[in-house]
Amino acid sequence: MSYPSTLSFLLLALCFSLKPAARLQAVIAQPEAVRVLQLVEGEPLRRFFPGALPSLLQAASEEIGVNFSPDPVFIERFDSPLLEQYPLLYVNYGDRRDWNLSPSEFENLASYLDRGGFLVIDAGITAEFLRGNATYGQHHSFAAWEVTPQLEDMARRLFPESEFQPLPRNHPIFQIFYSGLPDTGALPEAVREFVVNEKWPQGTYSILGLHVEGRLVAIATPILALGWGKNETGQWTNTIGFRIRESAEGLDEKLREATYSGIHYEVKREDGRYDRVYCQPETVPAWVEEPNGRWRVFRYYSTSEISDYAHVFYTQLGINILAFAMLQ
Amino acid sequence: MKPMRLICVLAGTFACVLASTHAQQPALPPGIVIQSPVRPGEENTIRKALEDMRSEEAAIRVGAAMLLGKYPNPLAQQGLIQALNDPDVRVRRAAVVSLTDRTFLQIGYDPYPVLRLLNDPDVEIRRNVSYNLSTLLSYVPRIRFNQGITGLGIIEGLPDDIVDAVMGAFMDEDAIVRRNMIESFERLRQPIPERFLLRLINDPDSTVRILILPIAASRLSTELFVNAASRAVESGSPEWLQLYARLLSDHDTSLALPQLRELAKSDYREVRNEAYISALLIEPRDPRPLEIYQDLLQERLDPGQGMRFIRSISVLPSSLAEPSLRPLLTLENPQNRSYAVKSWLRALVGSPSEEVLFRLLQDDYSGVRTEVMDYLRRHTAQVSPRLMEELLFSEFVDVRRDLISLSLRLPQREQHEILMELILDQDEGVRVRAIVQFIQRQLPDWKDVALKSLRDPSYTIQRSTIDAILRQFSPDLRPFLEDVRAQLSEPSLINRIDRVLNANTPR
Repeated sequence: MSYPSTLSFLLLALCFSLKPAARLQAVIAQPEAVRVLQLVEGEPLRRFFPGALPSLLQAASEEIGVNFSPDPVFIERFDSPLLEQYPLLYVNYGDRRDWNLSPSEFENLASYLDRGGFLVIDAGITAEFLRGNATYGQHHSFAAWEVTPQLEDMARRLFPESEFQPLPRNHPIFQIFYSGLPDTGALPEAVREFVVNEKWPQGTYSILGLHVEGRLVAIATPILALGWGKNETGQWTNTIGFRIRESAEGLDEKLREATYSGIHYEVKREDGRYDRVYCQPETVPAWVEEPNGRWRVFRYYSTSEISDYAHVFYTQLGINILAFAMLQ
Repeated sequence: MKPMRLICVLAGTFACVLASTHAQQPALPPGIVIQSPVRPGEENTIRKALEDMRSEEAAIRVGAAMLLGKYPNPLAQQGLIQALNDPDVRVRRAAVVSLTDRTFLQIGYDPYPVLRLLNDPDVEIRRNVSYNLSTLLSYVPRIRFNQGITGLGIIEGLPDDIVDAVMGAFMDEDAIVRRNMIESFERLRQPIPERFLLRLINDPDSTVRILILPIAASRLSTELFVNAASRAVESGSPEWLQLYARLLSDHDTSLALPQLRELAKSDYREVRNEAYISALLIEPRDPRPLEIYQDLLQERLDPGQGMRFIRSISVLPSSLAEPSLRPLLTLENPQNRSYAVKSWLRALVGSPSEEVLFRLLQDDYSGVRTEVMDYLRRHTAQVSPRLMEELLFSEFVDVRRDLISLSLRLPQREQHEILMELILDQDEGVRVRAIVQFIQRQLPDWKDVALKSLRDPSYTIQRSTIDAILRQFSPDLRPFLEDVRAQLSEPSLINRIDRVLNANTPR
């Protein structure tokens, strides 16, 4: 491999006292741009959110001073020999149709991760109500706390002694460069309260990680790429709305008795218990019964300041992930 | 006035709905298409929530507004519309969020009560309504059509108080509301009045200034645009300045060029480069001495700016374009390289050398190879026997595949030779295309080729062959088709043939 992970750790130890940006620059003191691998099955132009990763890499270059090339290097399969040459592999779960890896892919990927590579599986977390169609998980970033069954199976076959586990809220990945939330001042009151206390507390999110011999080698997240893409004039290319849980006096009882014509799903929470999510139309949760007996409605907020805020948060989280991967 | 009459009708209907909560399908404003009627069982829940809307306690009314938001039907909707006038801001917010939820917006409703909230003292409510303005206003033509009112623009003919609310929102004290207004009008393709354009170009909010700039550039006269925008140059962010430089290329040279010369002195490289690009489009000159040309060669331009620069070179006279584009054929960025190849091939006065074509056909990026194949399709005389061999045995599938369509422009004998070769290609997709084209063009021996293809073990090839033959069907071909049928063992393919034979049985 061209990226000696032991050397990185030594450098990391040497640079421990430096600020994250300086630490990163010291570790990645390369004259050439750092390139990131992206796995896309089939034609790269048809991938989900094609401008997302390039925008994130551009933002990371500007913010943390590491010279990332905005053009990812594409591979189609996990057994590509190119895997050996790059420290970070990004894949959007929806860009691969079938997650039943071939034996050569298992072998190559396990060797890659064993030897210091880092795998990011975007949209690897999709709540059960979003699994009916490959595109649902691309447009709903719902904080569930389990990976898709296919990923669970893949992890089991890659490293039988390990499995995807929730990263704790104080994990370095959440604070390696940015720490905390962006300024919530412009958000509507109800949204602000939910974001600060429940959705993204202290700038964290639901990320599940796979550890091998104590080292974090792979993470799975709800879709983040929908929050990254910018066009040439610096405007975000997608609009993002928030789905937040709200309550009001007496609403518990009303929801318990409310007429309901959809389907309900069990969605795993951070504490390991399950929410019962009631969806009226498919993929649109209407309300939730929480394990503590509380009922709340899902309210949908879509305004420009919310969308901008979500973009800033997803970009900060994306940059933190890149920075963490580079310091692995 | 007709619109006022409409409001009266709607108000009457509303009263009707509230009074008759037992009705399964309450009377509705004319012209509103309801896609989601009250479902059995929902009415009780909604009725209880409507009762809660009359509670003395604001918190109960908030909960009721939230619950009604889960039932996108006319009954719940009317309760929510009533809540828009609630004295408590939390209730009004809850009602607006419910009514602007996608599920409610999809059913369509009289938007006037919501639009009036553009005047609400609460900024969250104004932001929400202005953000959803285009969807809300899009109901207006439907309502009018059903009222027999035609020939009015969306804004024209709105009740006066709503026109005032909408126009006033362009000057709202909150920048987010102003941004939303600009974007909503753009989505609706409604012209923003000139007086607002001129003020918003110099808006204190930088995002508003960026949003309004291209709109102002396309709607204002050059003089007004340049005069207004030039006042904002000093405070312009790099993004704004770059955009301004780009927009100036569409304007009158005598006014735009002095501005571009100033922008070409900017401290920001992207701004200088954009100014060079626009100036080049207005005033053709040799681009090679320009700083941006070196930036492009050294891969320092972002891909979008690189493409725009190459395009500005490509419209220069050939004597300038060709030598300027030639060094760009080896750019590292594949999109820029492929665009340079395309532009260079078009700028050529004579023919490219075979060596250059060979090299470009070996390019790693398929976009470059596609450009060359496209050029050869238009210039088949350039395809020498040596080049033809290169194409036939190219390591790239796309080149061999594109050769099939290129061959259509060659004499029949050559078509025959090329397709015969490609029918044996290692790639199944190429083989399928070659066979289909061979049959479709009815080249000599096409029936033999078709019969042999049916012996191929690949089902895809067998099926494509059958489909190609069936597309050629005419009564003369009936005996041949019967021969084909006799060769087949796969029932689904036999059925395909039988369907055609039966449909064309002579009476």
